[in-house]
Amino acid sequence: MSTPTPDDLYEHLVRLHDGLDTEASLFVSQRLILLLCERIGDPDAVRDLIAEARRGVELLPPPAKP
Amino acid sequence: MEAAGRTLLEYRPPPELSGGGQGGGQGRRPVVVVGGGPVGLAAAIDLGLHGVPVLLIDEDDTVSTGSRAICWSKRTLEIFGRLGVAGRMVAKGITWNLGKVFHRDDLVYSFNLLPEAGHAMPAFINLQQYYVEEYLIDRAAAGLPGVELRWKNRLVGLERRGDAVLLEVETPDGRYRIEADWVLAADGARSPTRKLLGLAFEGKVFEDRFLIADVRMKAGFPTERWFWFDPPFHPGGSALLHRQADDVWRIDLQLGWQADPEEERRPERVLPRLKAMLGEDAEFELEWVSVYTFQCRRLARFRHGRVLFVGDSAHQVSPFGARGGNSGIQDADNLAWKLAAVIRGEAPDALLDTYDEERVHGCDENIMNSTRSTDFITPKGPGSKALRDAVLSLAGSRDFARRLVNSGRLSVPCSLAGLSLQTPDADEWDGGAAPGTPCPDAPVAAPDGTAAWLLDALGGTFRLMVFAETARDLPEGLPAGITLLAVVPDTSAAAGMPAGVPVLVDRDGLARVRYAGRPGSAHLIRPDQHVAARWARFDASRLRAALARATGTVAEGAVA
Repeated sequence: MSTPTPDDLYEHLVRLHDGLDTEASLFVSQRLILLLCERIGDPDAVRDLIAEARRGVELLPPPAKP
Repeated sequence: MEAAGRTLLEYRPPPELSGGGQGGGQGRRPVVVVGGGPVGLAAAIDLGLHGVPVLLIDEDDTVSTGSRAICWSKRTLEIFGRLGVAGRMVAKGITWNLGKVFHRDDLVYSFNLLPEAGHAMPAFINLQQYYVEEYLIDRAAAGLPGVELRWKNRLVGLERRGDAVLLEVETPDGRYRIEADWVLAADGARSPTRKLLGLAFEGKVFEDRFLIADVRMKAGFPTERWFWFDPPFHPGGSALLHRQADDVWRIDLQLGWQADPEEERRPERVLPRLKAMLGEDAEFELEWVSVYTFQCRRLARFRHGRVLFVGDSAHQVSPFGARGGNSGIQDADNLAWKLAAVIRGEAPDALLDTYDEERVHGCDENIMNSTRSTDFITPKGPGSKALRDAVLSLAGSRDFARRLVNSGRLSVPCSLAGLSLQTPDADEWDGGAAPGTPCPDAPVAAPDGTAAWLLDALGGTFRLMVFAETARDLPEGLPAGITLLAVVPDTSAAAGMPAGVPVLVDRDGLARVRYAGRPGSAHLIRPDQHVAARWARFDASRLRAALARATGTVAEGAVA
């Protein structure tokens, strides 16, 4: 067995959405996120990753600066 | 409904209007409670027990229409116990422990409140609000001559004047004015008092509507809390089924924001929804129907000088957690002893600021929990809906997801640890009820062997509870305003206690476990049965400092 390459991983991730409409895609993405959270097992790490994921993604309308 | 409560609800012309020239009636009142719901009644009874004369006015002359608040928590029942009404409520109410959560057809989660043995009160009872009010009215009428209840007396004016509040009250016989030292606004979510003072009631309104229906039926459902997400009989919404006294069942159906509240109240809309749930052939009678919106709001402050807000007038949360009625009763419990102490001149006015501090803290905890439940039950957008549905889809097979399912986290009392009145631990403790904790109950016995409960023995005054094996473990003298309670391991130790000291035998050793008691250890207990301070060994100066702090009499006590 060869080590999975980045392209292998991307292929797995993209196939998650095969044949799904937006709503179903969102649903399976959330299921995957939950399973990853369970695997990570560290709520603080998840919180940091959530902040990282959200960085630079603005609200519409943009949030008031504190 | 039994007759007693009804007779007591009769309107009588107030002496201010009927006495012919009495004018001022009974003169200035120490306390006027506005609102005769469970919270106002509990506050009036509590103040009455503290010896404070109370006038309670209510705009209506009936108990609540519809069951409204139905889930009463252990902590509330313990407060009702102190007020002398819990026995009747527990006897009439439905004690329940099991909850089940379904997603579509599948059971995804169940919980058992599994009440720990050795407490007088169950974890929860379900009892319609009209019974709770009736029993409280009966209690106020029995042996509390200082508590006067006036029905069909509506507050229409309120003016704050330095050291008094002037109230204008409307009755079927006209209006009268009355002067009060203190006003408790227990007049509900639409509080006229709040409006008369022009106070903002800020927070969130969630864009969703719920149908609430109480039906009377002989049903084969078990005495459990059943909650469905997306059930076959009500696709896309949530549903709740919960039993109350007299074969009345609470049904709650999520309707969505687009539902027309007026339309949805009509029986021809309601009945098909209920038949879909209960079966076409189910025989039931509609007792009460209402449509409501989730709201989480509160006043910025619960104290406004001589006007104090308790219950829904101060804060409102979504249901599904039993946090409305229960938190209001806890407001009354927190405020009554403080107000009584200030009125009697035993504590400074500043003690009442700690009502605001402690109950705003409790309220924020309730709002946080309630908002989280609402975020789960009513997802705000497609992303949060997908997340919620993903949790439900995994909950049947994975503990991790099951623990995220939130159909309402049920009310538990908040801790007051770290707030002004409590003295933090200075000694080492191995668990037990810490400062700020509501006192845990325990089965005990009088020295003659009669079974009793610890909370009943604590009563409603400041207590120093000392765990003792011999008389040497007890303090020799206590400051004014506090009484001793000795907790001993057995009857022979009880026999060795000095005469005149109240003694409890810790017959199952549970008081010792729940308070981490050791011979000579001492707990300072507030009149609302919370631990204010505790020490491994009694020390007179530390007790004096903690007691001063717990009554708001020491400036540095205010520094957390």
